[in-house]
Amino acid sequence: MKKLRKGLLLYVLLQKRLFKKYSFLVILCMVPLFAAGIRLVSAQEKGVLKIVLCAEDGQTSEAGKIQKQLLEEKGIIRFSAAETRQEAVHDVESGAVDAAWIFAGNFSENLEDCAAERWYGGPPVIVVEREDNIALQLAREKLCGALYPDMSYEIYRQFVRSTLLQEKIPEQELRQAYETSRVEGSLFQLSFLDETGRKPEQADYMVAPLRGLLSLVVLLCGLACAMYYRQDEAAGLFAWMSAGRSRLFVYGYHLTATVDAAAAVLAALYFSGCFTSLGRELVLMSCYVFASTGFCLLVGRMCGSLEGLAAGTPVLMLMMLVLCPVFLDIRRLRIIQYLFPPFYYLNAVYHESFLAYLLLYMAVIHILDFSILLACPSKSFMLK
Amino acid sequence: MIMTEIYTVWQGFCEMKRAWIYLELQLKRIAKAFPAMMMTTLLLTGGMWLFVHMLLDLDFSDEQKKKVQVGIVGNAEDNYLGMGIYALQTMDTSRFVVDFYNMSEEEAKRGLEEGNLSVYVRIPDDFLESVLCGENKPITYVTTAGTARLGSVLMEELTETISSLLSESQSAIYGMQSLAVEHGLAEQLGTMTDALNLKYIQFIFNRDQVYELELLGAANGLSTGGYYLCAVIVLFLMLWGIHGSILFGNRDMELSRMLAAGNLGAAGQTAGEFTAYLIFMYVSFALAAGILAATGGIASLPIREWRAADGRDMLVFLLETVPVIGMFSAMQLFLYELASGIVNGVLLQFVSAVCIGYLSGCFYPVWFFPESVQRLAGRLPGGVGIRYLGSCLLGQVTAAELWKPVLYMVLFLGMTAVLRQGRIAGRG
Repeated sequence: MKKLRKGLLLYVLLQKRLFKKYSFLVILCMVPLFAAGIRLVSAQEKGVLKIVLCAEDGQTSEAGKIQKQLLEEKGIIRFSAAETRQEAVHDVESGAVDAAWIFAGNFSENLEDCAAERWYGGPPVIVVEREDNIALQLAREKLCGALYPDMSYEIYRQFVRSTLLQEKIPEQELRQAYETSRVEGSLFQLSFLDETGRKPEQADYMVAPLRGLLSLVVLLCGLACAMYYRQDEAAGLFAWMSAGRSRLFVYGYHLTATVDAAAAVLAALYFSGCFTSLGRELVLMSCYVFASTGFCLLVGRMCGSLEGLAAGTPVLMLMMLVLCPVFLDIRRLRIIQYLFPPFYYLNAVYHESFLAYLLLYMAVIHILDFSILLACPSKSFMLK
Repeated sequence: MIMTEIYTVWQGFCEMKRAWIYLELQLKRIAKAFPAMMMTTLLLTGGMWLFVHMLLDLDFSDEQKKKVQVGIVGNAEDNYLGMGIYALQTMDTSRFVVDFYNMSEEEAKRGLEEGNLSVYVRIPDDFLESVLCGENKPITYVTTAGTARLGSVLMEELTETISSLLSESQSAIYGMQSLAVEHGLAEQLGTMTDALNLKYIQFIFNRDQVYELELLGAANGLSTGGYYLCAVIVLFLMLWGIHGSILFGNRDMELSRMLAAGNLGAAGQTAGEFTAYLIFMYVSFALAAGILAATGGIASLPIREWRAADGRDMLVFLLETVPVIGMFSAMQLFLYELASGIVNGVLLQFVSAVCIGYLSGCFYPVWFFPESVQRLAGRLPGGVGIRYLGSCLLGQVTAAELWKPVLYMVLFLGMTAVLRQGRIAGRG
C-alpha cells in the first residue's frame, strides 16, 4: 500500500512537472478546439466538385425547376447558378468551377425530340469542361438522374399517344396514371463491412480523418516523453532510484503525457461528433494508450540516443500518417501497417475483431520491450 | 568626434564579428547532428514520395486514372443477373467510369478489405420478381466504414441516379399498363410492355445523349498532380520541424543571457540561429530533391507541368523555393521559442503541422472545403506556401506571390526575437 502511494505520488509529481509548463496545457486545449472547429466548418456548404448551372430559358421553365432542385441538394457536388452561358463558360475557363451544365434555351422541345429519338434541335443540355475525368463523368450520371423524371415521362407520354392508344388522351389522365403507379422508397440501402457504432457524422469526408490525426497526437506525446526521459536521464535526475524500481518508473513516466493527450483526444472526439459511446471509447483509448506507451518505450530503446529519437520521430509520424487509415485507406504494405498501434486502434473503432488484435499487439509489444530490456540492459532506459 | 565615430564603427564591427562567430557556432552544432538528420530526411523524402504516389493513385480527378471498381453479388444461377451485368459491362455508359465484377460475397468482402473494390452491391435473390411486382426489394450497397474515400462517395451519388432510373421507368410501365387495361387493351399488355421496356432500356443505355460534351482543353491553372506535389512539399517542410527538437527543444537560457550581456542581443541570436537553420534545411531539401531526381523518383510522378521540364527547370524551381523554406524555418524557430522543453516543442510542431496542413489543403485539395476554410487557407503559411510553389511550378512567380512568404518569415523572426528578449529578461 505504501509502495503504491509512493508510486502515485511520483506520478502526480511528474504530471505536475508537465503542467507547470503552460504551453503544454495550451497545446492540449488546442486539440479539442481544432476538432470542434472542423466540425463547425464541415457543416458548411462544401463539395469535391464545383458545377455551375445555367438555365437559358429562365428560372420558371422546366430547366429552371431542375436547376432549382439541384441547387437545393446537399451532396459532394457543389452547385452554383450563372445568369448567362458566357458567364458559365468563363467560370470553367478561369478554373473557378470544374464544369458548367447549360440547359439549352429550347430545353423542353429538345427533351421531347430526344425522347422521340429526333435530333434536330440539339441536346437539351450542354456540358462544358476543361478536361474530362472520372469524377466529372460520375457527376454527369447525376445530371442524367436529374433529367430522367422528365425524360421518362416524355417517353411514356409519346408511347401511349403514338403506339398504345393512337388517340388524344387528356394530359391529366396520362399524368395521373403515371403518378399513381409510382414506386416509393430507395432502391439502395447502405451497409458497412463489419459495422460497429458508426454515426452519420463520420461519413463526412472532412471529419473522417480527425480520429486518425488525434490518435497520432497520443503517440507523439509518448515519443516526446521518451526524448524528455533521455534528457533527464543524461542529466542524472533519477540517479537516486534503484534499478529494479526504475522499470516501473520509466513506464509511469511515459504514461504521464500519453494519458494527458488521451484525455484531450477523448474530449476532441466528443466535440468532433465522432464519439461512439463512453464505454467503448474508454476501453479503446485505454488499450491504445498502453499499446502506444509500449511502442514508444521500444522505439526509445532501439533509437538509443536523444538525437536518434528526434531524427526518427518525423519519419515514424509520416509513416503512420500515410500507412495507417488516417487519410488514405491503403490495403497494401500490410506488414509495415501491423507495426503501428494507430492501425489497430483505428480499425478497432469499426471492426470488433481488431479490438482483440489491439490487445494482442499490446501484449506482444510489452513482451518484446521487456525481452530487449533483459537481453541488453545497456540499450535501455534503465538507470545505471 | 572622429574618435567617437571610429569607436561606433569598431563596435558595430565587433557586434558583426560576434554575430558571425555565433552563426559559425550554430552551423557547427547543426553539422554535428547532420548525418543522423540527413538519414531521416532521406527516409522522410521516401515517405513523402510514396505519399504523393498514393494520393495520385487514389485520386479520381485525373483523366488517366483507373475506374471505380464495383463488385456485384447475387444469385450466380440467375440468368437475368448475368445478362444485366453483361449489359452494364458492354453497353451502359457507366462502363467508362465503373468496372463491374460478378463475384461471391466472400470474394467481394475480401476485395473490399484489400482495397481492390470501392464498393460492392448485394442483389437479393428475388430482386427481379420484386421489381416486376412493383415492390422493389432494396439492393444492399456495402462499403468500408473507415475513411470516406472519394470513389465510394461518388458511387453513393450514383446510387441515387440508379434509383431514379428504375423507379421512374417502373412508374411509366405500370402507368401504361393501367391505361391499357382501362381502355380495353388488356390482350396487348404483353406486347406493349415489352415494347416500352425496350424503349426504356435503349434510352438508359444511351442516356449520355441527353447532353453534349464540350471540352475546352488543358487548363491554365495547376494540375491535380502539380497541386499534390506542392502540398506534399509543404507538409514535408512542416513535419521536418520535429527534427529541430535536438537543436532548439531544450535551450539553455543562461547562454542566451551571457551572449546578450556580451552585446549579442535577441535579434542577433535569432538571426544567427535562423541563418544556420535555413542553410541546413535548404541543403537537406536540395539533397533530397537531387537524390529523387537522380533515381528517377521525380520523373515517375505524373506532373503535367514537368512533362517537358529539363534539369535547368528543376534547378530554377529549387532556387525559387528559398522563400518558402525560409518561411517554414522561421515558423519552426518561433514555435520552439514559444513552447519550452522537448515535449512541448515536438507536440506543438506536430499539432501545428497537422492543423495548418489540414486547413491549407495538404491532405485534401483546398477546393474540397467550404468557402470560409478556402479563404482562411489562402492566408495560412501552408496555403501561402502551396500557392507560391504552384506559381513556381507554372513558371509564373510574381512579386505579389513572393511577398507573402517573405512577410511571414519576417513576422515569425520578429516574434521569435521578441520572445527571446522576454526570456533573456527573465519573463517566461
